[in-house]
Amino acid sequence: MNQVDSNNQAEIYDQGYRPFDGSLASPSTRFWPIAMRELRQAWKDKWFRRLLWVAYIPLVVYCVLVVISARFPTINLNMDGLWPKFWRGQLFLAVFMTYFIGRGAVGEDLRTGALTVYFSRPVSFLQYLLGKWSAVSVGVAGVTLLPGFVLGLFRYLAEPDSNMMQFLGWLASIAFLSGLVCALFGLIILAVSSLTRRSRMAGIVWFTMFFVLSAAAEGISEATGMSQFVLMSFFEINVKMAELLLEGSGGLEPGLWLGLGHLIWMAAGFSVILIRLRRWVRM
Amino acid sequence: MGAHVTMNDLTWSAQGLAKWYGQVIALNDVSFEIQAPIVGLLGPNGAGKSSLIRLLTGQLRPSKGRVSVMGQAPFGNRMLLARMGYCPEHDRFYEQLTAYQFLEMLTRLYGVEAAGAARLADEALSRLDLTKQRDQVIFTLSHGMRQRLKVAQALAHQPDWLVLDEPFSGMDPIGRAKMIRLLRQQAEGGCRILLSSHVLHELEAVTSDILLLHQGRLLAKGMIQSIRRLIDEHPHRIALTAKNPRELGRELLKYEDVARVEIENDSLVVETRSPDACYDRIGELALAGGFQIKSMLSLDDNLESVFRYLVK
Amino acid sequence: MNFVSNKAKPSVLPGLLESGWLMAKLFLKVAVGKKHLGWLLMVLLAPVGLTVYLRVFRGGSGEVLFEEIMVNAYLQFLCLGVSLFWGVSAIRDEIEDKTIVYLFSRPIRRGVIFGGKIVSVILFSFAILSVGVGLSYLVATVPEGFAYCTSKLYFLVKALGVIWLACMVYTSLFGLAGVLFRKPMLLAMLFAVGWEGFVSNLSGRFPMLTIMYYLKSLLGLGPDTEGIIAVLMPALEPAGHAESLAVILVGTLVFFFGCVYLGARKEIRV
Repeated sequence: MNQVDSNNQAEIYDQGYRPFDGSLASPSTRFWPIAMRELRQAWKDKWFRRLLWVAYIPLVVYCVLVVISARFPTINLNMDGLWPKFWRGQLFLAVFMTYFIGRGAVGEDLRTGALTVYFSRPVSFLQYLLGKWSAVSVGVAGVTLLPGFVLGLFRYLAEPDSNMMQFLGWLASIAFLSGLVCALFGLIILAVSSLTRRSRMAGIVWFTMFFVLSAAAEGISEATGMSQFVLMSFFEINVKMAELLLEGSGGLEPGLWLGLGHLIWMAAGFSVILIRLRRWVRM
Repeated sequence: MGAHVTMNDLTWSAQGLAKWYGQVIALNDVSFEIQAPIVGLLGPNGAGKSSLIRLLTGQLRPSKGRVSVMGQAPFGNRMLLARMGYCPEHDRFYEQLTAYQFLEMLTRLYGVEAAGAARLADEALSRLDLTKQRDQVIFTLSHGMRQRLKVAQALAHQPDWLVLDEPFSGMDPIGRAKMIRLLRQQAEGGCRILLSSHVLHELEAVTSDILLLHQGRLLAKGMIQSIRRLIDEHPHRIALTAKNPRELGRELLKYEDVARVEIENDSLVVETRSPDACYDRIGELALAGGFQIKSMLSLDDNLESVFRYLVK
Repeated sequence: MNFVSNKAKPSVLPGLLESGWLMAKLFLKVAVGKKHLGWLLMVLLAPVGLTVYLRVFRGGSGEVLFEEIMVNAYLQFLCLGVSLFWGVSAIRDEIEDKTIVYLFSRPIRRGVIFGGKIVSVILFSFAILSVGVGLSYLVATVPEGFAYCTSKLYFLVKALGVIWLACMVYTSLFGLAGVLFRKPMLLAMLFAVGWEGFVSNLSGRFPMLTIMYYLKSLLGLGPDTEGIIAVLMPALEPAGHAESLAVILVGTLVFFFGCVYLGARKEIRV
């Protein structure tokens, strides 16, 4: 209680507890502290930091190739196949990036009981999921979107034959592809992480899925001659999509199949998370 | 302009004012309204005094809440700034300019025409006893002169509000006494003054109205003596000298409001929760003649005690 | 002492132009008073000495010599250096010296404080540089006769025009850096040397990302096509005059008003 002088000539103010009466941050930003927590956790790992450096080495190499190809056309470097090769390499790095950020994203919370802490706050299930997914997406975008943009800009600046429309086309394709990778990889790793409380196990499952499904998808597709089997692998789907958009190889029908494949994988990932965390689902 | 401004116009006020710099909260939910002619802003280091001053002079914007002078927010408020003078705490100038050039240039920036600015600059130099240093380059001036020059630039254009951050810093006792007299004259002329100082007795010499800040919060506001009366847990201490201190002490202890009496030689210190009643009682005892009370002094009815009791 | 007499209260607040003019006066008083101005003037006039040396010992066409000095010494080096130094320090020094408090507590628009300083730096820089450019021109062309000298005057006018544009755009840019960053000098130097100095001489389309490319294009010059860097990529032709002028003017407006806007809105703690 404030003390007031009887003549109102002085007042001593209570220094005790006062309830917070400030404005709260918008609910739409509540996912961000969750995402930042995951990113800070990943940043502590020195191998994650090393991966970030390594992720830009292919970019440098490809930039050098672009310069050589532009200046010395007699050296036939076949720049037509540049984008898919570049994208495959970056996707490979994105698999590792996803591992570092996402393997313990949900599993650790299950193990430590952090979910109870999260949902005792005014945080909805979707905000929680968005936060976790955003963390993975930031990492994946860092090794796909950003290097892709830089390479596109470099090609435009270094190659005299390229034009503005081509450049914008590259940028749009890279942005779209990166979005797909973020969505797909993010949901799948979160689903895998939700299946086990041990992040190491989740990581093993993630890499197993990557290697086994990629090999199986490619092998079966070649054996049967049916390219639809590529949908078995979340990695190969993205590679094929990149070939379609950046190289123009394929057509509408393969594009529809690939789009369907993406949707199926995303739905599967989301469903697994929903089932595993149904107790806390409070949209 | 002074004749048309009413008392209610000259108000510094804040409602729910808060200011933070990143994670550091400099001011936290500060609310006040002041109309006293001179107000002292007091507080330990890091209390938020400079932040409050910067908010009142329009240097910064509040993170939350409102701060106003004459009911208007000061940040970027040119009409308000035209009537305000600000003396910052730091000792920085345009070192290559002379004292006169510095004052004249900064007075021109109030929209005063060249001839008027020249005259006001000379007047301000005269008021702050800097006439001899008029054409001296600033970096050759002593610390006390620089301090006076800072105050001079704040009041050269005859502002209605004056905000002074540590105005006595670096001044010798004579300079401080002159400054105190000058500030009182300004206040008598209708100027509203807010000044901060760490030197408690100097602040007390200028004003008895204070704002006491501590850790970014407003701790107390009002007249020093009134604040002191409100501090219950620290009984007032009154020092007396008498011929028979022990008898006097025994007599005073009969009353409930007297908490303690300390006796040393012919003096005693009485601690009482009702200082006014105690003073009356002591007066009566003195008149009764039995105790031959020679002197009486309040030991903590002052700013230092208020500061010590509230802050520490 | 009667201090309430003779009140000279302003009937109006200082206007835009008056405030800007006072800011310029303040800058000039402070800048001219600085001790290192003498050294700066010596550096700015050094190219004149270089022109004399080359005129005497190398000979050749006066126009070619003037173009070399103009581009290599004035445009690519001194103009950039002067704009960087004064553009950054006009804003940053005021903040770091804490004298900006005096200006902020005056009834002048905050944006005018920054805008006025930038304009005064542009004028000051141009004034100093144009003297050097003019002297270099005279040294380069007069030995071939007054008729030759007067016949090539259009190039001097063009050169001064480019110097003016360079002062405008670089000073605005570095002034903006002074408002945005706490330690702008290092960034500005990296930009001036690393970006403008290096990238502007690359081939391919890279020079299009620099301001210097457009300034040199106004003189009909493209990126330097000599040296090992030029081997790596096809050379870029100079941009058209209209395009170059548009880019420079748009850049100046963006940087200048960016500085004014941010200066007006940003809280500056001293």
